[in-house]
Amino acid sequence: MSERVPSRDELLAMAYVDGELGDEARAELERRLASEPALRREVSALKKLEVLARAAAPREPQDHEWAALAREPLQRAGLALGWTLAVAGVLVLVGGGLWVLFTSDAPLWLKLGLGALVAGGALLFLAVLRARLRVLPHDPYTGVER
Amino acid sequence: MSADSNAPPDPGGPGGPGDLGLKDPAGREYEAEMEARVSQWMAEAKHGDVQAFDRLTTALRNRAFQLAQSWVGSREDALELAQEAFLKTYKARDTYREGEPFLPWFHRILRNTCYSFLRQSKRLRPASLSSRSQEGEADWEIEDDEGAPEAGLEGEEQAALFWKGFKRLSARDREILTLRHFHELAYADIARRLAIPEGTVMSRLFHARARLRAALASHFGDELGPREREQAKERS
Repeated sequence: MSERVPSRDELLAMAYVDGELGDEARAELERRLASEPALRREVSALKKLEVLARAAAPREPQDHEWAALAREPLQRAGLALGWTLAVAGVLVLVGGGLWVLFTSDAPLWLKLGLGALVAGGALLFLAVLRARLRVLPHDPYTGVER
Repeated sequence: MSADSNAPPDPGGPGGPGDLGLKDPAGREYEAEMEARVSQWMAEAKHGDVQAFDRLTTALRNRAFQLAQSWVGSREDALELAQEAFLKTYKARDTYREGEPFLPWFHRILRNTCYSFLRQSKRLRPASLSSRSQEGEADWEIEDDEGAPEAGLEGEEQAALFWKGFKRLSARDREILTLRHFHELAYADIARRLAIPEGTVMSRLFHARARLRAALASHFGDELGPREREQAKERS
């Protein structure tokens, strides 16, 4: 099925509403509108669509939104670097600390206690992270802006 | 509408929009001025003037945003994609051919940027053969996303209904309706932007509006004309 070819009157009505007709053609169409209800209906429907589209036009972004967007790559890069350094620091400190602890002469109860604390903390963190990542796509509040 | 004056003028044909008595496009100064200005700025940017590119971006970014939003829906995505299109344009500034109109070139970059995004998020698929235009050119269906563009407070409910219908349209219908209704471009300007004949603009615009009217008929049936209401009834 292909698109039907629009009639001359349909194109005239459209061009009239879009302000594309020359003076003569516009005057001729306006004369016809007085006596042709079908043509009048078509023009009226197109005008209503025009008004509706104008009312629905997306709100244009404000200057501050563009400015925020321009700052964003820098902020994102800063955040990514910050997180990477922080996570690396925690891993080095925890890993190194545990190594030092377990190879030292510290009492066994201290080694086991600290080991359990670190392992428990890591497990809790991973469990919370996993749960959060699973519900994130369905979280209705992620798009809420202040 | 009288039958004798109703012979179709084949608006999409090579002969142009037929003898409809359209205005002389030379009378439309604004868009030609804008085209000349941004083309000049792009040429200056090509020669290293960063401020010229800033001026160009400021002049065009809201229009770019509106087009991007008509394709992708989300305001945040549209903002980022418009920004990305300007970035790509700047990176490709050496390939810009001076003296050629900038706007059609930028339009293609913006469209490709948005289509790539939609493809990556698996929301773009080829339209069925039945929805091919008279030109036989392939079109794209866009899968709906959540939410609708944010319009002004006035007529918010009507705007929401409008976008519900708008999002049922293909990529090409959305493009031409945005250029006409939101950017308020004349047929001749749309023709230059999309590099198609003015008659094809009229034909595409006619069919895009007919589909939009049909999509809106369930909400605005009485207002948008009996033909479209009948089409909507047939579909349901």
